[in-house]
Amino acid sequence: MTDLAAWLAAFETVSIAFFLVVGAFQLVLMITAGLELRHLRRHLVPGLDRWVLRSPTTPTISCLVPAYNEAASITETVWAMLALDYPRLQIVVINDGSSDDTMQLLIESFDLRPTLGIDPTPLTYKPVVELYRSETTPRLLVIDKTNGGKSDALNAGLGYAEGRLVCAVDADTILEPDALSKLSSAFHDNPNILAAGGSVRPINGCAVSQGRVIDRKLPTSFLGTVQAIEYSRAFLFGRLGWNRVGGNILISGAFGLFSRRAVVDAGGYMTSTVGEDLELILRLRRRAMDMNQSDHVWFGPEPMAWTEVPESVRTLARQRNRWHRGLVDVLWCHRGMFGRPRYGIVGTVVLPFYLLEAIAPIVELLGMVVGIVGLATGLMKPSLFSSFILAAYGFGFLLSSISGAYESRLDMGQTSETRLARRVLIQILEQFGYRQLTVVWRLWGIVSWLRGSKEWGEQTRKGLQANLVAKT
Amino acid sequence: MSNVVVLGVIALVLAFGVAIQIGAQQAVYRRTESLARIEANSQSLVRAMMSGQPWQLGQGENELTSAERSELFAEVGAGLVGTELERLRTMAETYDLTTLIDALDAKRWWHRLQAVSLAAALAIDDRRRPQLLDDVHPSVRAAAVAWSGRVGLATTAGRITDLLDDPDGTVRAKAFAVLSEAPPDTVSEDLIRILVTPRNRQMLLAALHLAASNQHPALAKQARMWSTDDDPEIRAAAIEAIATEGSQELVGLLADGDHTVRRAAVRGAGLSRKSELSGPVGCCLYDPCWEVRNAAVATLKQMAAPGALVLRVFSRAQMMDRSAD
Repeated sequence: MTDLAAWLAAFETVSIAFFLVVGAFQLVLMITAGLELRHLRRHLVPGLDRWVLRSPTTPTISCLVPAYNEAASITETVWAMLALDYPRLQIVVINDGSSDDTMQLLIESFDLRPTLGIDPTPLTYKPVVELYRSETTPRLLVIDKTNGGKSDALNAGLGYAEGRLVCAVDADTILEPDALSKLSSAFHDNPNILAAGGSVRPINGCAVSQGRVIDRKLPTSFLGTVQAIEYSRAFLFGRLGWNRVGGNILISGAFGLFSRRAVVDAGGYMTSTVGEDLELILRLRRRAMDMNQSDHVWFGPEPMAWTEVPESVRTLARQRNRWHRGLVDVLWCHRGMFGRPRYGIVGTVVLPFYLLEAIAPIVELLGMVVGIVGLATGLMKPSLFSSFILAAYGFGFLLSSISGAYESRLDMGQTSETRLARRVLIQILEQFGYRQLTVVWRLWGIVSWLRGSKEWGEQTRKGLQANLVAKT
Repeated sequence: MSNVVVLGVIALVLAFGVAIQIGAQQAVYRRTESLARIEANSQSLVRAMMSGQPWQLGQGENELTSAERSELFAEVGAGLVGTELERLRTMAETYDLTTLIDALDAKRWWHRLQAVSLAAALAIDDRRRPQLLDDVHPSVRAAAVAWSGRVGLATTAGRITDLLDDPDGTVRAKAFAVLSEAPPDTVSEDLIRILVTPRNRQMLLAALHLAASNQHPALAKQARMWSTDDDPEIRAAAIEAIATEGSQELVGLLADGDHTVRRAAVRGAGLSRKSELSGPVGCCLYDPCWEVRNAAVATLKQMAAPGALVLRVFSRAQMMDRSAD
């Protein structure tokens, strides 16, 4: 019994220390995110972008849209891309060996005809079956290739793209019309920038017409709303906060703008990991720092994209497993950067923070088990346990509230009392049940990584048809 | 007792969380209402401008504050020229809106920005414009550059050229954009000044790129002296600037030891629009550097029939190779 008490006391100390360190990180990120937001708001000059866009130096952007069994949303996505407000734009859809009607739908909807093309890059990928150009929309190029996964498809897109900048967009993602012009301004401000990313929000529940989100709403389901809160926390805290100190290492795979030269020179997307977005940014920054070049990666909260989030527990569990597996895999791949001052803030601060994120589910689960054992055996005071739990959950609620407030100010959304009340309610409820589930899913991700799993898992999507309102 | 304290703190956290979200929502409400008022006025203003009919500022619930009036005219006037701009200016004068431009001297930067944006939209010049190009706030400087682009660079071309070296990226980008759209004769003298005695590498590179888009003979002459610089990026920029002059010189540079220079020579061949270069540029499709191959593809596309033929033969061969792999 004395041994158990000693173990419990030791673990209690470790848990509290872990909580304090993570809390301190998040507190600092909260402050830096606030400072960054203030800075960005002071520099917003609406309407002046047209001067830059008209400039002869405005780079062509190639939007890479990898599509695997995306028949439910591909046509709507491509129409939305073609409607983007950017003067020099190429859309490259890469059909990654879909077994559904994706390719047929593209051929019929855009009047595609086989064409010839040249890939000048040294990138390798699975064989291309055919290249197509659209008779009706010349800015569209479709690559039909054998299945090789998302990264392989993106590499093929990088090869045939014509733009100096490439924008990786998921096939179930819709960009705001001004998203590219806003995001590309980062490359005007600093031509040596490696990559820039914008915010991603759940499209579930929003009304979509002609490839545009016309009514911003919270998803109707609990799971959808809770993810909307998570997304705003992740983008308006983490990424905005890291931006301020030059520590951004994650540009969402659903929406990011890259220097094509930087990505091709770094060898393109890595095909052997499921965390290809995080891995690419880390590799780009690492390579730039090794070569004493600019390693700047920028995040802007205003350029915005909408994506479908899973609303079934099963699909969400698979997604979270994959995300966490990807995180652990990438941290392991780049373990050589940890704690090394030559990698600046990334090596000394950001990666250790992500390592804490990676092991957080283990500590949280052990904390819950130890707490319950401690309470059952009477070795832990109920008041201490409840204080700890309430403090952790209260802090989580505070973070969600502040990011919710940031989000309202940024995108002028959430304009009804009912929506706000629902959001607040779910911010409270997510701490009980959902948070514990995510711990289990992330643990499952660690176990899958240890077992060497590289699977993406089946993604079930409703498609954007569900969000469509009458077309005019 | 400790439980009471913990519960009290949690209640405070909850209250604070809810309060900041309500506060943010109220701010959104205010802004949404303001935008709705501007939108309502904007529609009637655009209709009146198109028809040439008189226009009445919104009353009652559509009544605008002076900041909103300024925003309305800045938004509507931003892209207007000719008769429509004249009409808009007359309407602005009817409502004394041009007096809002007096805020060019305001203490707060956002008031100055508003005034600059309005003056730019209405294309009204003011003696204070050159001073605003030196404003302490980068957004005001950037707006003043755009304003200069709208009313003409006659007196400010030199200062705007100097802004190519501004510490703020947006100001630099706007200065570059405005200079590249300006008539070549207006800016060539100032660009030559930079090409002769550049303040730093960044400014020199910007001036060389502008010389390439400007295609003024005097600029090409000055750019030539940088084509032998030790820095390959400067050499490359200079090659693009002199592209229209000698095609033989470009053919020689297509085999340069540095890939940056080869890439620039390929791009230069595109700018020169000389179809006899399609053969040498076609050879660059086999260059060991992918960026040179990439530039060769883009250049051949610009070369009409001869370039298209070279591309067609090469792409067929590459597709066959990749299928064989």
